[in-house]
Amino acid sequence: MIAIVNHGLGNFRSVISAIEYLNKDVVITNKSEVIKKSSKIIIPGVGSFKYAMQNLKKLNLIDTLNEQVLVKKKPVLGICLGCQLLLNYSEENKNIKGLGWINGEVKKFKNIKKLPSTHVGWNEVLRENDPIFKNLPKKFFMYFNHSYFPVIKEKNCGLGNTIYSNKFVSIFKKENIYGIQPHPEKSQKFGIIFLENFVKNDI
Amino acid sequence: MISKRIIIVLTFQDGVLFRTKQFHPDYRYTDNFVGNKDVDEIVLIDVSKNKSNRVLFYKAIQRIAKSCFVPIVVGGHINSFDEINKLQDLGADRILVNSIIHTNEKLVLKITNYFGSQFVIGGIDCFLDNEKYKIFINHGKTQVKISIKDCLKQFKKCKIGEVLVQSIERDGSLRGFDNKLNNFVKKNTNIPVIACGGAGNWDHFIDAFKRSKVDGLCTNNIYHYSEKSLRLIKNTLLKKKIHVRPE
Repeated sequence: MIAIVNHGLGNFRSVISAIEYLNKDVVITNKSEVIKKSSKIIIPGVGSFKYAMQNLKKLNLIDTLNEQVLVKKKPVLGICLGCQLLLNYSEENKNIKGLGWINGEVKKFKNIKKLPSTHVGWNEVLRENDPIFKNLPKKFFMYFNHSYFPVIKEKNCGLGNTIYSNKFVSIFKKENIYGIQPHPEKSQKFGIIFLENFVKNDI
Repeated sequence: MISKRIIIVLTFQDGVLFRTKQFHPDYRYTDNFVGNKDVDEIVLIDVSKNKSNRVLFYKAIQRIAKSCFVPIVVGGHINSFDEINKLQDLGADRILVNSIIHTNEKLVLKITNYFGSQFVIGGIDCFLDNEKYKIFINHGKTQVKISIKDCLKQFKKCKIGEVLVQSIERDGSLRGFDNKLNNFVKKNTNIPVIACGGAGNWDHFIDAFKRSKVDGLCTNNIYHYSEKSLRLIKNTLLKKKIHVRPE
């Protein structure tokens, strides 16, 4: 069973629809016991880094998530804001710490000249090799919608790059922890293939 | 490189899907095209006069969201935080607001601070009258005395993440986009701009992408929804060096 962590800020219904389409058991939860029983964890998210972290703290989920991901090594996928929460902190609010599972920070798109300040729409991901990309072409389109982006400071964690004014890491991984900035649940067939690889394969 | 979007706008009155003409229901549709793989985004707007049959609109969102793997934007009658939570639960990925930008700035700021700027699209509904653009809220019913420039300043103040500019008099007219209006909006903001109103045939898209710098174009004309038709226009746009998502 896949557990979708409900911290209050996200398009949870869309993620559930995509996993159900793949015929996988999925539950949306904000309870430690349910997360402990799951086989894999997805942390979606749309919105403020600060409020999402505050909610995770209020729900007493941080210790459980740390144990499940860092000790038990359960596969976890952070989507959009969810992938940003995996890092140390966000420029949005430096006093609020992220989960800090991967060394990195979240920055705002600035000085991007002719481009709009929000990166919204379909853009390409140029990928490396990893089991999460099974059956996906070397370059594929995904749906992005964000004005902050991840900056990964650990070596060998970048799996996919995207260009919006400058190049940034749009998909990353460290051991059992995956992060993806675009929305696979809203990226048509390539997104569905990506999610299928995460939920069905041994990764 | 970020691609240009082709967006479908669907308008509902009391849960029933209609095409509109000058913002009034004009022609009834069915929604069997939602699985179309070439659509880049779908906007669902409740244009009902009152909220008494809102539940029928909720059902329509739910039905569409179940089998739709592109972003769904929902708009119309959004005036509270609870309403947004409800829409997200039904399958909305983003929201479109319009009237509250002018009537409840505090609420809009609360929404953008919590869900992020990227979550909120702000609508500007314009009517060209004697060569001057008038801005309307309440789905074309109430005029607000504000210029387009000032309206965009208000968007910035409210931290809105994208603009949907609609031409009311071109809605359902099938005579092409208002490139002048769309370019003017694009020039006066640094957030993405998508435009709606007037699409009658695919040449209008080629023309609008060539002559304006908008980030996406919308249509609510059913003849644009067939899989084959969208595929063909995307291929044509690519040949003309307009960067759209090929698959």
